[in-house]
Amino acid sequence: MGDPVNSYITAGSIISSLGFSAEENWTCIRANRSGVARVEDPALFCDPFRAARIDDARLEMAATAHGLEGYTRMERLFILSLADTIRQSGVDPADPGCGLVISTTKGSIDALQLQPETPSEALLGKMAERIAGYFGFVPEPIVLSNACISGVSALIVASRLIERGSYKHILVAGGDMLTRFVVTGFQSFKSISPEICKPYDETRDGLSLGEACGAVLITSDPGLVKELPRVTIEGGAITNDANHISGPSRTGDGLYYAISQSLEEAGLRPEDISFVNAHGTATLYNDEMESKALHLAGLDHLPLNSMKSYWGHTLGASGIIESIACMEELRSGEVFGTWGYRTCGVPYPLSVSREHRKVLMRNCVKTASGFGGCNASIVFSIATGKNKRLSTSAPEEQRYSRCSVTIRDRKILLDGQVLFENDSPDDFATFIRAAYKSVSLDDRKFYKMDDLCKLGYIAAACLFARNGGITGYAPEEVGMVFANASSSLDTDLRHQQIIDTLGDKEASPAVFVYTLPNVVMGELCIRYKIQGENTFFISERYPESFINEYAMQVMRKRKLRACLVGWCELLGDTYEARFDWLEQITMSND
Amino acid sequence: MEQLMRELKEALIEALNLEDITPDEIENEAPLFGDEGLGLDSIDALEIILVLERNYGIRIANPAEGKSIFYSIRTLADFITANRTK
Repeated sequence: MGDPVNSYITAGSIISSLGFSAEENWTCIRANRSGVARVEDPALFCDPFRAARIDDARLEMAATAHGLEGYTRMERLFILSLADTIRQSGVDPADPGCGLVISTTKGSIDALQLQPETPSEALLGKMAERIAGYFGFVPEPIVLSNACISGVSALIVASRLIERGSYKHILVAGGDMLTRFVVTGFQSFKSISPEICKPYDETRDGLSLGEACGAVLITSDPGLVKELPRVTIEGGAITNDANHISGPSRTGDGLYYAISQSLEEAGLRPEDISFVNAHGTATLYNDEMESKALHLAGLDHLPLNSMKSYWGHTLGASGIIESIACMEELRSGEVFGTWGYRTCGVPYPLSVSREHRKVLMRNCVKTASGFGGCNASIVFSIATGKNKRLSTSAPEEQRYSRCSVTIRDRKILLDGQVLFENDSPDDFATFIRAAYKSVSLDDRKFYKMDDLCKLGYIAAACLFARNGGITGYAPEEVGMVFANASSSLDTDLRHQQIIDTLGDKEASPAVFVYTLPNVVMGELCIRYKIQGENTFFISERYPESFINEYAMQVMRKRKLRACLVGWCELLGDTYEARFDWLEQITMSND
Repeated sequence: MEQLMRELKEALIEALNLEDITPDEIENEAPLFGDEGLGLDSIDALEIILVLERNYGIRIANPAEGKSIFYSIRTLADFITANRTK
C-alpha cells in the first residue's frame, strides 16, 4: 500500500433547463421551480410532450462568446461547463497530471439525422478528442458510456484513478441532449409521463426527460478546493442486477450490493449517512426497486430525494449534476425537496419530502440505475482532515490466471487455437449464426439480441463452455470491464433509420433498448449471473493495458475475485471481440 | 378466428425475432409470457402493442392493461376481434 490519498470533489458547473451555472440552478431549486415544461417541437417528437430543455438562444450567445462556432451543440455544452469548472478551481488542464473523463450515453447523436454516411461527430471518442483538444489536455480523454449510471460511474472511475496515483487531477464532465433519437425511444417504451414526473409518489406515471451538462474537478490537492467545508469521495461501487436488460430488478439486490459495497469502502454504517440522493426516475418499477434496495441496505428511514422533477432525467449528465447537488446539500446543510411529491407510493416507505429540509450533514449516498441492469453507488463526505482511504498504487503480490478468446475474420480462437472457422465470405449475420449453431446452445434470447450483443455472447460462450459456465464465485464477486470504438452505433443507425423512414411512433423498443453499448454486459450478466463491477469505456483502439490495470485495481480492492475484460467492437460487417477471463490465484502462505 | 390467429402468429414471429419457431409450434391457448410457453418479456409486450396499432388500429396507452389481453394467442385474437378499427 502506498501513501494515503484523498479524492476531493469541487468546482461544480451545471448547464440545464434551470440555468447556466450551479448557482442559478440552486436558486431555481430553492424557489421550487421545475425545468420540465410543455414541448411542442416536431423536430423532437410529432406530438407535444413534457421535457426539460436548455435555453438555445442563451447557449448560442455563450458559444459565440467562447468562439465555439465549429463545434456541435453537445461539444459546446461540454466545453462551456468544463471552462466554468476550470475557471472556478484554477486547475491547469494542460498540466500533464490532469486528466479528462467524459460521461455520456449518446453524445452528438443528432448528427445521424437524415445522413446517409455515418458522420464522425457521432463517434463518442472523436467528440472527446475535440473537447480535450480545445483545452489542451495531455493524456488521452477517457470516455464512459454506461447508460443512466454513466455519470456516477465516471466519478467512481476518476476517484479510483486518482487513488492509484495515475493522475493528480481529473476533470469529469457528463452530458446528454434531448434529441428525436432519445425522445422517440423513450416514447416507444411508454415511459414518459404526460405531467412533470413525480418520484416515489403513489400517482407517479413515468419519467420526464431532460438535457444538461455538468462538470466537476476530482483532485488529490486540497489547495484547489475553494468551497468550504471540503467534500471528498470516500467509496463507490458498480454492480449489475443480472435480471433484465431494461426492467429494474424485482428484488433490488443489484443496487443493494452497490450501496453496501460503497459504504464498506468508505468505512461507514447506515447511521453515519445524513441523506440519500437516489435515481428516482418516477417510473413505477424503478422507484419500487429502489425502495427495496434501500430497505435491504438499512437506509430507508433516512431523508431521501430525487432531482428528476427539477431537471428531468438527463441520462449521462444526471449522475454528475445530481452529485454536484449532493455537494451543495452537504455544504449548505439542506436536503432539497422532491418537487411534486405528495404521498409515498413504494413498498418500503421512504422519507421523501416536497419541502427542503435542514439536516446535520456528515456523509451522503448517491445512487443511479440504468438499462443493461447496471447500478452505481457513491459516498460523499465532508472532509474531516483525516485521510481515510489508502492508495492502491503499489501493486500487491497478486497473481492472475488468464484465458482468452478472439473473434475476427470469420474465426474464433480460444487461447490462440482455432475453435471455429467459417470459410464462406459472408456477412456478420451469417457468420454469427453459424457460430451459434456450432456452440450448440439453445437460448431463444440470442435471436432477439442486436449484433454487438451476439458477438459478445458468442465470445463469452466459447470462453466459458470449457468450464461449464462460471463456477466457484458469488455473483457479486465477478465483474466485467469492456471497451469498444463505435459504442452502439450499429444499432443507433437502425433506430434512426426506423424513425426517419417510418415515423416517430414506429420506433421499436426492441431496437432502442440496444442503443447503449453496456447492454452487451447486461446480456452476459443475465446469462452467467454476474453481479459485480460493470464498466464500459469507449476508445478508438483497444486500451488493453488500461482496461487490465483498472480491472486488477478493482480486484485488489477485494470487491472482485474474477473479471471478464475485453474489447467488443462491431459496426456493420466489421467486428472484433477479444475477451480475457482473469481469475485471482489464491496464494498459500508457505 | 383461425385465420386471425394464424396471421397473429406470423406477425409475432416477425416482430419479436422468434427465429427457429414456426406458427404451428405456437399453441393457441399456451401462455405467451413467463417461463412456460414462449417466454416473452416486457419489451415483447411493447412490440405487441406496436403490432396492434399498426395492423389493427388498436391503441393501448398503458402496457399494464395488456396483461390479461396478452395471455395467449386466443385472448389476443378475441381482443382484436372486439376492438379492431381496421
